[in-house]
Amino acid sequence: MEPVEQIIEVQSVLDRLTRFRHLNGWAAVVAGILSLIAYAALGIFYDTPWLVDHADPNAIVTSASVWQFIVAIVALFVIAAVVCGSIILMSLPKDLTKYAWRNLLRLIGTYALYILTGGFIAFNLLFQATEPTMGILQFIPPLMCMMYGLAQFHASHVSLPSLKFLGVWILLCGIIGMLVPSLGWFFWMVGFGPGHILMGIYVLIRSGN
Amino acid sequence: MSKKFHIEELNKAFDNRVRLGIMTMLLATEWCDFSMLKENLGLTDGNLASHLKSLEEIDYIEVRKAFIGKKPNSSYRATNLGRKAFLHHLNILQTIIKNNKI
Repeated sequence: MEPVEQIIEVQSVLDRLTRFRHLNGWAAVVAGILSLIAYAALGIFYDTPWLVDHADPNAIVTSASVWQFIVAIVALFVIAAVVCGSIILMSLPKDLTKYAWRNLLRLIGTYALYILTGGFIAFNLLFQATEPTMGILQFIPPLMCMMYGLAQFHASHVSLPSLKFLGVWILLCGIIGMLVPSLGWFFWMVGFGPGHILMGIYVLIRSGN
Repeated sequence: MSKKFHIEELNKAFDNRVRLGIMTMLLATEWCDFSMLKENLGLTDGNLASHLKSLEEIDYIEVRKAFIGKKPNSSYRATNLGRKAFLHHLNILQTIIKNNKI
């Protein structure tokens, strides 16, 4: 073997050893479907104009609608995390090594870092504003996209490298949402819904399913 | 000035994809069992076993045999000799690549 080939082989083995590669494509597909359902459900059940693009950015948000919003978002994250986490855990090989478990913990830590930071900023936006307006709420979905997109990008270093495409896609949706806040929820749906579904299909095809 | 190495100085024991992979894994982990090596390197039992045997014969790795329940389990680890030899091999590789700007 040539020296360069040998170095590449060493790097490749180290790379395999430090990544969590047992992500299940179905978990991403389900996450995407849940996002689409959540987008549709929030628009149907809560007749709240700030969910769609004809919001009045200057209207005062009542504390009741803020709490509805918080409960809906936290519930969505908890349901998605439990369902998708269960799919991944159930599909893990029985004899998973301690290194794979360690890599899984690193992956969970990566997501947690960004999601908790994003959540902290979002809650601060909601509670620190003396008179929250609908304009503030409109920045929450793009903020979620940006933090989650960064999380996926970072996760591509400790898990499947292709996660960076999902990360960039959702991050771009977040940036557009920040620039055009009235379309923030729409781009949230575009990022989380089709983004996860396409990523899931890609992972399933790559893993031979 | 860094020492110059030549390709001929590379350790022949590592001039093989499988043995490079085994030594990399054993340097990155402490004890590593047969199934983990097999899974990470994508090898058949026979292929992996023959390369492990050849590394064991030159004292680059040591084996620990045990039973998990009723199933035999072999774990491997790099010896000090093997560790030094592999790190030296990597050092030569890096130097060759650097000197030749590959």
